[in-house]
Amino acid sequence: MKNIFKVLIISFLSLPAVAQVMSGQIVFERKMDWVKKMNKAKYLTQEEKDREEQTWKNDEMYVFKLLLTFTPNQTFYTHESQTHTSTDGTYNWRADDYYITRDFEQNTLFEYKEMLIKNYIVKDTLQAPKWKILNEIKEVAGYVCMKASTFDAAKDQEVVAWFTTDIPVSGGPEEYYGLPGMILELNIDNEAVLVTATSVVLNKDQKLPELPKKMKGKTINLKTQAELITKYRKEQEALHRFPWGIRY
Amino acid sequence: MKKLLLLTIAAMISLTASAQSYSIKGTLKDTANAPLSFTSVFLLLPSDSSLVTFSRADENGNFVFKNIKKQNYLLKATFVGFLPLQELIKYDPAILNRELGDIVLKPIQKELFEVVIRTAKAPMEIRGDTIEYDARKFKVPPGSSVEDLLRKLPGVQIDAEGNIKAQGEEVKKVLVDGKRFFGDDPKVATKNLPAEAIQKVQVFNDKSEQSKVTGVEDGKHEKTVNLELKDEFKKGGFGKGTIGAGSDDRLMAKMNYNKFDKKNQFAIVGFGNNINQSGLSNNDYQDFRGSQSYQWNDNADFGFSSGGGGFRIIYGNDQNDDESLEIPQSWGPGQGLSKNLAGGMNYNYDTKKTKFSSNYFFNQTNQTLNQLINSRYVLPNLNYNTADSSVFGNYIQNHRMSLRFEKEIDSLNTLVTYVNGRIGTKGQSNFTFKDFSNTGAEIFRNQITDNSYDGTSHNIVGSAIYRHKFIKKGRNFSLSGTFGDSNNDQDAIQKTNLNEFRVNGQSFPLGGFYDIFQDVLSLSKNREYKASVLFVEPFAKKYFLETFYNFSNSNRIVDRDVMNLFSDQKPRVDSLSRYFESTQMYNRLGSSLRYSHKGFNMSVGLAAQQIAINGKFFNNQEGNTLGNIDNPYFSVVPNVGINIQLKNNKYLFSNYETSVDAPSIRNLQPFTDNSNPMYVRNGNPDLLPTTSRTVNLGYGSFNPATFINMWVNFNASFMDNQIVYNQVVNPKSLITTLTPENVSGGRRVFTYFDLGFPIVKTKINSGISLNGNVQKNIVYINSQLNDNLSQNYNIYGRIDLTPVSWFSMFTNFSYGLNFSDFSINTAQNQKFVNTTLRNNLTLQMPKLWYFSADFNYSHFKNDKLDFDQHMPILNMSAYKIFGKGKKSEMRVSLYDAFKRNRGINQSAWGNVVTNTVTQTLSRYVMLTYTYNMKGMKTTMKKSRWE
Repeated sequence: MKNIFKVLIISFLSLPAVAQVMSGQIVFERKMDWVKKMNKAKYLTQEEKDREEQTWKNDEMYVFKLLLTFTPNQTFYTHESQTHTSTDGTYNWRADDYYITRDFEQNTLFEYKEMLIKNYIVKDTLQAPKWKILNEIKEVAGYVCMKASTFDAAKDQEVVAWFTTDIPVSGGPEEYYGLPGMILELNIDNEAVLVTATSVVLNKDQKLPELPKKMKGKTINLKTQAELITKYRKEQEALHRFPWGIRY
Repeated sequence: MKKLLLLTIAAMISLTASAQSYSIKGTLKDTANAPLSFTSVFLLLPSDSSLVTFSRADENGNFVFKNIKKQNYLLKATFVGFLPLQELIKYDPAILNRELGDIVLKPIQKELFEVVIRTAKAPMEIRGDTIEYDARKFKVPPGSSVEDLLRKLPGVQIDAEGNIKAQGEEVKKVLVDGKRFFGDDPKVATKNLPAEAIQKVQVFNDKSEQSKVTGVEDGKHEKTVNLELKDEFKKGGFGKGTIGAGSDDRLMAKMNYNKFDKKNQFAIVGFGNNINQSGLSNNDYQDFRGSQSYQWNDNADFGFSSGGGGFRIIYGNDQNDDESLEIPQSWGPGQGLSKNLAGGMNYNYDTKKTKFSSNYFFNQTNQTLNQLINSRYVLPNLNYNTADSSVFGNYIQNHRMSLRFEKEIDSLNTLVTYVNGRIGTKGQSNFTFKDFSNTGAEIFRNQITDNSYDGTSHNIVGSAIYRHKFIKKGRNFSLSGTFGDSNNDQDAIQKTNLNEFRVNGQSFPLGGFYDIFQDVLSLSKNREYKASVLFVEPFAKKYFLETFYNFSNSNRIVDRDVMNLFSDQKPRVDSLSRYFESTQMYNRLGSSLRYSHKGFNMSVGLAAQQIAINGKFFNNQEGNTLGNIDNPYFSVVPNVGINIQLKNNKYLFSNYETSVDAPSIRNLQPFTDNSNPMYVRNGNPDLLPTTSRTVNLGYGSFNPATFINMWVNFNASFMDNQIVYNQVVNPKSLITTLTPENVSGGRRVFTYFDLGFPIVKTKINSGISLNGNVQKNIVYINSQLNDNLSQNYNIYGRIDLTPVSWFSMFTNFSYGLNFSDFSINTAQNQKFVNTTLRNNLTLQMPKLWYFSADFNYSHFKNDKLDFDQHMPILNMSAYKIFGKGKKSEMRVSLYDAFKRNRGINQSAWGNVVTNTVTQTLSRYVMLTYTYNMKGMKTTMKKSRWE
């Protein structure tokens, strides 16, 4: 009991400090669950979904880590390592190009990433999704987080974000942002993809990493990107295929 | 016009808004009246909680929202350790500077906060006065009741009688999924429900029963606990059954049922028919085996990681499909006419750390085959033809069982063990009428064969694989041991009568009595022990040294007794009987260096291996030794592989390997098999292993945006000491003796190209494939080398039409050109053509009526043998899906409308060109009814593989 009290007092005392240091790095673990992804497929019957689930439920999830670097006004999100390694550590392969940056001061975003096996540069002003704030709280990586949700119409996905007001930077993992605090967990389509912060390191001198020197690809804006994704998703749906070509 | 008006009004409103702005301000405090500095405050829309704006309080807990839109807001404030506050701020046009004054945040009950949020890491939901948390995060031992679980939860006390208090108040009601559970006693649910079934626990104040009935708020509240059940405890299951009856006494029935929850899967399957379906379909197999359908970790024979060059002593290498340990699957109706019966059950238990699976499967097939076989035998300077008319009756019955257990001991150690077994009986009767004719098409000889056999067999294989990962990432150790045992006992009666006819042309007189009537008893037993070790050591981050050792020892006993039934005493024929004991010992030590970086994998390896074949053969079990085999065979085999995963879904792979395969026991057996006295087979105990050197190159690409994909593959093998059946043909009588011998110089080249592309995206897809296959088969005929160059080229095209949701048509066309050249007799070089057209059409009509038709047209042609067969096959069915939940389907099918179905095959091999026509299940009409618990699929398939 006493200990709890101490913790609370410490957290009170440390708060002003927390409020000042608003830069650092967050490591996210991204897990993909094929079975839950397939469960979304509209062209499968319940029986077919059950069959897939019962057959593949022991399959290993695809897990890799990403790193979000943030300062009070900017975030930079990419793979923790640009090579991915198999779980037994004996194989590795190239991570896809995925650099997601946000500038809250300039109100701009810049992304360099692979989509439909091509490289694209996405440049636009910030257009945060329409978030709903819900009444749940939980802890992620030592921070108390609140729940928020939104719907991605282009990808047809239900998105749940857990954000903490203790890190008052409106950033987050993947391409999500615009909440009154840092998003520490992202849950897409009922854990088909789950991106969770595993460690948060605050560092008031944190510098943002550099973008790759060579960036080739068509430059598009958010609207074009959404159209591209929607068109592809609908084509695949019409063919009863899963939209593998875009990041879930 | 209306819109314009609205727009103007909106503009005016926003104008006035900016003229007289709306603001909200307030101060956040705790219950002790201390300011809550830097608290986050947000404004939400009351209708859907969507976020409008947010801000932070200053050091003194003051916050302000300026210039905000004039509307109702939900104000939300959150601070560590406090219940997030939510308050509705109604817009009042009279007050444009809204002062909220002090807003007090209540602390979360500390115990609750620490236990739920910090320790259990469970989400906590706040709904007014309800606090809900995820019960799964609170660990209770398996088998605990809900009462045990509640005891663990913060703020809940349970006395000795099981009465529950929450936050100091007595709990009057326990609901399950919001509903009452067996009357009013809250203890019924808490004492009887298993804790594992609970997903969430909610504690809240419910209105009293009386106020619910009267609708009058009486101010009384009852502390209520609601238990939300886990989804997986809402158990699942699916199943379906089909029965059908048709013309010509055609009958079929099949069913399967699956029941599962998070950990358990139970499945039964069964079928019976006389329409040639002898195995499970792919879906049925997956439903039956569930999470054990595909096992990637069960290979106990470690070797080069680039694939190939594996551990080549495959247990029971003379087995055919009927004797495999795998559950039989089928991809379409079989040949001939067959009656089939099968069934089994499977149980899987899966948790993250422990996986257990067991199953039993029974199958039985009675098959009748009527075949017409025409062959041409090409010999130096001469050739002759045979025409067979055969009836085969085949009977197979098998019982298969398997057990598998996998345990993740901890994060570094895993153990897999499995045992697969089969017990079966098998029988065959064969009656063949064979005419031999000369080049003048005159029948000079006739052979009547009446053979039959009965046999029993069993085999069992058990393996244990242990894997250890070291703390150092990439360092791995694996160890495996395998035991195998098999037994095959057969009793055959063989009878052959030969008749000779006088002809004008070449007559090939037998010049002796070659009829047989004999009883062949053969027993073979095999026992094998295997062990493998693999160690992987990483270094310099990108390099891995993989070292393995394999050992195998296999003992085989073959006991063959041949009795002459022409004589009443049934004397044993010593020249044809043998007792043979042999041992194959295999040792391999190998190592490879692998580089892996960013999708570029390359490995170079070398292994030294020894195959030692030892054996003794006797005339009879207690007889004198007739001979010894002592063949140690040492070889060094290299293995190189390059595998590149390029950017943009492109793959390049190539490898080179040398593999050494031991000769099969069947070829080593030192006896003469005269079952067919015109083609006598010898064993050869002096055979050496075959060495093959193989190069494989490939490229693949797939573009998900354009749907264009391409695959290219090139594969070439060169063989030394290839085992071929050299022939000695008596030029007078044509009696042929076949002896397996080692010959070098054989080779195979295989190329493949496939391109798939859409013509109209999502509506018309097409593809084209080309493949070429060139083989050089070497065989000695009367000591003269026959180079058989066999070439096979195919072109294949496909068009998929899926223009609308109610129509689909898949068409493909293939044209195959085959050449077979014989160096000993170039005049007999053959050319034959196979052409096929396949078309599958499905139509969905209103009211869930469907129509589907398959039209397959095949043409087989060989001018030299006057073989010209056309086979149009039309299958049609109409069906309707009906009933509640679309669970029923009634279907009427017409199979092979033109009654033209046959099994046709053309081949050329060594010095023989053959074509076979098998009488197969033909036209029938069938009515089937299917019931599917989960409802029938009503959408049309969009690809030919769906």
